[in-house]
Amino acid sequence: MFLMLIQKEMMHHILSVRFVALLLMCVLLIPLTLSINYQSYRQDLVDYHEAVKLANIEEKTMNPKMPLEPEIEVSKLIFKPAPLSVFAKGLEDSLPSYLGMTRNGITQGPPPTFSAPLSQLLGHLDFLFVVGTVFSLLALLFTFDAVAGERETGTIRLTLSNAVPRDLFLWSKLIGSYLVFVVSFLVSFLLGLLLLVWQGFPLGESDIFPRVLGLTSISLLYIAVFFVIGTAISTYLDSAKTALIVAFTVWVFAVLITPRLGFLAAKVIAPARTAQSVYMEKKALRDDLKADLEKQKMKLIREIPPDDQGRIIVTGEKMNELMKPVEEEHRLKFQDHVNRLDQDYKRETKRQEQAGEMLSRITPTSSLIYLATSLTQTGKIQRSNYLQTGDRYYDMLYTDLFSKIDDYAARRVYNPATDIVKITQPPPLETDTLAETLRRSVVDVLLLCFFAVVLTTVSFLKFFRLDI
Amino acid sequence: MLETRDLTKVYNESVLAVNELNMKVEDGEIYVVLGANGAGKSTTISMLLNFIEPTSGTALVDDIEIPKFPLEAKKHLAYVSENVELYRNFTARQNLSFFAKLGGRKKVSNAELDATLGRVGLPEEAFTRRVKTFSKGMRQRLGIAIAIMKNAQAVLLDEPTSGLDPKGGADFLNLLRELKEEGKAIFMSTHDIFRAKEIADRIGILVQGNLERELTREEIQAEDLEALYLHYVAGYEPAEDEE
Repeated sequence: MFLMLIQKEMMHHILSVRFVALLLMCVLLIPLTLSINYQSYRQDLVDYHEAVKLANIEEKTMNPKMPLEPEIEVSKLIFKPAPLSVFAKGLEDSLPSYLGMTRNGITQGPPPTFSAPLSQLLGHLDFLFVVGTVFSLLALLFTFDAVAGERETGTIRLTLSNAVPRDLFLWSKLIGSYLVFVVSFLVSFLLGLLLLVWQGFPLGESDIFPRVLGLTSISLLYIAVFFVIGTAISTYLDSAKTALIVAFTVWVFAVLITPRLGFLAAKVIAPARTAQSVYMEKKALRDDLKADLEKQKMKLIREIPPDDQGRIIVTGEKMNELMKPVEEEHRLKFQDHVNRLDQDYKRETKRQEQAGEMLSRITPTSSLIYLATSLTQTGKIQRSNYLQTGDRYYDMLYTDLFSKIDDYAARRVYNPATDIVKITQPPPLETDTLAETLRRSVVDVLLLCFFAVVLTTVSFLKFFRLDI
Repeated sequence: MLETRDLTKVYNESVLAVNELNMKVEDGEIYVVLGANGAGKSTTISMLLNFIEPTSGTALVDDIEIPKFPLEAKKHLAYVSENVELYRNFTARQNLSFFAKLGGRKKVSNAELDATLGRVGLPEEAFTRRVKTFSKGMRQRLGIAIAIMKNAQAVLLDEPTSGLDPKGGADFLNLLRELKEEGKAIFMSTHDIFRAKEIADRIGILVQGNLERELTREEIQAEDLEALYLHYVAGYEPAEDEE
């Protein structure tokens, strides 16, 4: 009987107009977005190689004995696009195209969207958008009338006048419609993957294929959550029209509003300074210390006793000797201030972001986005790895170069044979293994499961008590 | 056989829909319950089908207590609603086949489906037509076909003739007579006094959840049913003849 009910449900959907809409969306959107985004990724990769070539870091040398302006970028860590950005662009368009290493700290190159193309106004169309936004709506369209529609027409009375347990009836509704949806989705996704492979996408690579599988699984879980949301709405309402309006309103809040609202609320709950204001503070601090150092230098000069003829003679060696402890003191003071500023800024932004992330997780869409971008290496983890690699690179450069630069040498002796140093090469960009990604994403997986289980339970409990 | 014992339903602890209803429909009998809107006719049928839980009392079909063993009881019950709504994108044959299997039939041949559809008076060209193109009368016929296919001992009909044209109504009554001859216990709710008088073996008049009067076949024929109905339902007294 259960199979027959599922079969009926599947037939009911296949013969309906919404199935045509689903097929159109699946067949058109999935392969198309994958193909177009792969072209875009290939262009990004070409741009990356060009940028590496232009930066010419391998050939760069420096003389630490020569003065170096604090704002000059001596090297760059250039951002390499992730192949899985084909599925979810994530933060890639907003990440700095490179991290510039200066004595003042790390500067950020303009993001790819620096020129603000008009297309940014309309958002990015990728697989994640299709699943998160379009398919969630379609899932609700598949389920809003699962119970309400049958109650309205009366078919539920005819069905349940037979020896059909209510739980079987509701399960058949959920499973039947979900199967129709998922089969259409998987077939078109497979088509899209075949198209990608045909275009040269390295789907078979050991780090890519399991991630694509993971992405597919969480997409199916997310769609299931929206199926259950639609069913829950349907069990609570008598009229299909009302259920449709409620389902649409829920979708607007769950998909469009609440994820963004979380971060807006976080700005109020946990305010933080901007990166620019921190940079300006550092610059002002360096200028103040520089002026102070100049004052001290003049003071030291004035304190030098005149010779027999009443002349004050200051040799370079003498000045260096006098200034060295003062400079060291200033350097340490500056470094201490800068570290504190950086730590405060990082703490504030981290706190704000964590608050926003947690608040946004009130809807399954945020969990999907965090999960998908973690799997495609275009999300928070990748951003953190990129910035951490930048920090690591800066520390390397500081040890090898910046700490050796002498700003206040009165006399500079330049020996090309011994003083020239090669710029330290940027370390490779760290990436998480799939196991690490999953470990970090366990909260979102659990949240999606939680939504699915709780809403299914709510639907069933309501349906069991429902007066037909 | 269908029976109710002190069957009571109170909605939201305040609205009394059915009050201690006691009635019995024997096999091969047509029991018609008459009543105005809100009298409790549909609530009674809903309780007989376990769509809603009775507040107290119980109902039985073939000695099976419906609230306690609803799934077993439903095997003995067939149901035709006021507006038979079926799966609109399915054909008449697909709908009938689905509900026949749901009703417990393991295998149903197309020949048997077509024979049943023909028996209820559906034209052959309608067998493979989608139900969304059907008129109300055709849907009602299909509803009866579903009840026939189930071959249940008791048939519950909730205002099945409302909105049917005179020919449709007459055909419908003929089908009910056939079911009666097959020995089914038929329980029908309606406000159609004339059709009730024509078909019923017994009539119960339900007023605000209370069974005010039960009439036997002889009483139905002897009494002015319309006046009696108006008396109970609206409190009208028959006008005395002017001398």
